[in-house]
Amino acid sequence: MPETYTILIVEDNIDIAGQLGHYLGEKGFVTDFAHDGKTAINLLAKERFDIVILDLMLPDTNGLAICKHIKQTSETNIPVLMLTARDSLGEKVDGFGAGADDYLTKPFALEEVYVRCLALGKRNQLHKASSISIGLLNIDFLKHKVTRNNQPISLSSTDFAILKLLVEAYPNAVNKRFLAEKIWGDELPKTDAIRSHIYTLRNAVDKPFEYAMIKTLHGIGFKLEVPD
Amino acid sequence: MDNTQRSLPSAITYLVVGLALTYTVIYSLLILTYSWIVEDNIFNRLVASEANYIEQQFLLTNKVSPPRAGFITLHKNWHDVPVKIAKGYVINPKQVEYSLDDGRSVHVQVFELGGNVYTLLADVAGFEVSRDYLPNIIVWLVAFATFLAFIVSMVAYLIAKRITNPIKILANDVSKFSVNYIPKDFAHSYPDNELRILATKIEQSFSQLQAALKREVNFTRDVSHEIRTPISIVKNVLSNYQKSLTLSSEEFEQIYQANFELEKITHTLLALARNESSETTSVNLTELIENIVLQHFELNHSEKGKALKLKLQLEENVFQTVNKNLVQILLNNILSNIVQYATATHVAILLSSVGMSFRNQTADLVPNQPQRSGTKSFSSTGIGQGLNLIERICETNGWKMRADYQQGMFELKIYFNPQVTPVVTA
Repeated sequence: MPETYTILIVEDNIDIAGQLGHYLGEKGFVTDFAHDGKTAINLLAKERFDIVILDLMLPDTNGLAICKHIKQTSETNIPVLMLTARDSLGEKVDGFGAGADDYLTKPFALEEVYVRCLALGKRNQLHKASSISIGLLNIDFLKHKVTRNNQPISLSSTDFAILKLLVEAYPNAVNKRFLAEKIWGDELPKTDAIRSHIYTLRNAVDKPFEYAMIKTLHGIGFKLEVPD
Repeated sequence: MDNTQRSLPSAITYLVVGLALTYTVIYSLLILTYSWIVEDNIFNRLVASEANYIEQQFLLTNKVSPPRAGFITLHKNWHDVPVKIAKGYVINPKQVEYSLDDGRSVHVQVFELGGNVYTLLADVAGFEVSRDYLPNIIVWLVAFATFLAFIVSMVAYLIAKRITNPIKILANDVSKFSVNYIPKDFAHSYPDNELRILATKIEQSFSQLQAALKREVNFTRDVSHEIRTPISIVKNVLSNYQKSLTLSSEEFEQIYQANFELEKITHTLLALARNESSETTSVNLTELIENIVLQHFELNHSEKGKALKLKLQLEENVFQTVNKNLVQILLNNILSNIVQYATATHVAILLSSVGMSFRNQTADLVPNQPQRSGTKSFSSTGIGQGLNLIERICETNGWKMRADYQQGMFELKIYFNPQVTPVVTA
């Protein structure tokens, strides 16, 4: 069951704001709107939001300034997804420089906004929580414990590290190269160690249960998947 | 070339001549002043010597002797002295030289003899050499200054010409530039000093200008070719909708496809039009393809994308010096085309050191030149759509693209070296 988040949509175009609100609302998210920077700042001061979707071109201010304001003043680190028609390299660098957590250029697919919000929310949870759940899979990072359907799963330290990386990337995929670099750094093993570790991880996390959560993507990467 | 108000050699010559003349005038004035001071001091010493002689004679004889020199007169009472001198002495007792109204120039020495004040007046007008020679000296000085100015101007002009000649050559060469032509190795034809730095900067500026103009020409041409077609499709569908107020599934599909094309075209053309797209780095294509395949949204999240079975054959660590952003757009466009238009589930992607290949099955007819601008297949053609944009990116990277259709298989091949086209097959 996917997470639900409270989202502030800062967008001056009423049509786009409406489309986003409607789509994300259907997905179970709670949305609120600000059509200018001033309203956004007021709402952020009064309400608690999990994610901010921020347009850069606002009638009364620059979205970069709002992003900096969010990052400097909010007590919790609210993830910011910048949504803009500005797609040059320099503009993206400015966006990330202002503290944006993700950057999506217009035109965008509503489903992609939803997936990115999921990823941002999950990443934010990782920073705040000692444990995290994806579907019925629960990982406790402090105690190094994994359960699925409340059944404890025993994992080696390397398998646990791989699973943690898959959880951090959810709902996106990670490639083998990335996993190997994260686990072994520059001292990469000669054999296809990732493949054998994924095999043992699947035996522990997927095999005893009714559906598999670890998916292989195109033979080059892996991701966690939860059935709808 | 020269339409300047004043050339550099002339400006330098004027400056040097101006300085030389200024120094000449100052030096001449110093010389004249020095000669006047020397002359005055001689007169003062003569008058002082005469006063000393009269004092000595008075001490010896107790008589006031007359001055020995004819041009010196001795006066006991101030009323014998010209009024101007008497008044002047009261105001400034240290003043020794007076120019009188009758043209005489008088040097004065006041001294005491036996309690009485005596004044020696030396009329030196007849002895003032500097005053007699001044007109001649001025003429000579002017003549010398003129001669000096001539010599200095000649020397300055020759030196200035020698110094500024390379700059004039550079200015001449640059004035012959057009936005379409810069001589090859232009900067290297100049000596390896500040001039080459300047020439290099000029060459770079012109190159950037040429590149910007080329991008602008390409952009307007591409916009004209590419964007108008999908806009026309949408416009026509909306026009029909206004009449019937219904949208057939075919019309809906037309709008959907037109929007898909517009999205890709806009993204690609804007990237190609930007200066940042001309900057290249060494890119690991193996890693890039892997990451893009894993991150491509439609491929991994849409129903059509999830249904595809990708077969990847990627050679390890294939590096190319390219613009990373453009290659990302190229790969994303190809993958979007695959997801959008593929009619079969099997898709093969191959990467080797010589090129890339993307292949999928299609039962549809493919036009003879699928990469030609505005080309559309008779229905869907696997990845045979929008290939002209992909070809444009290939050209920018110095790659060559070929699209083949054989026995129900559509294949897009990209060669990294346009000179050699070995077999690259997925």
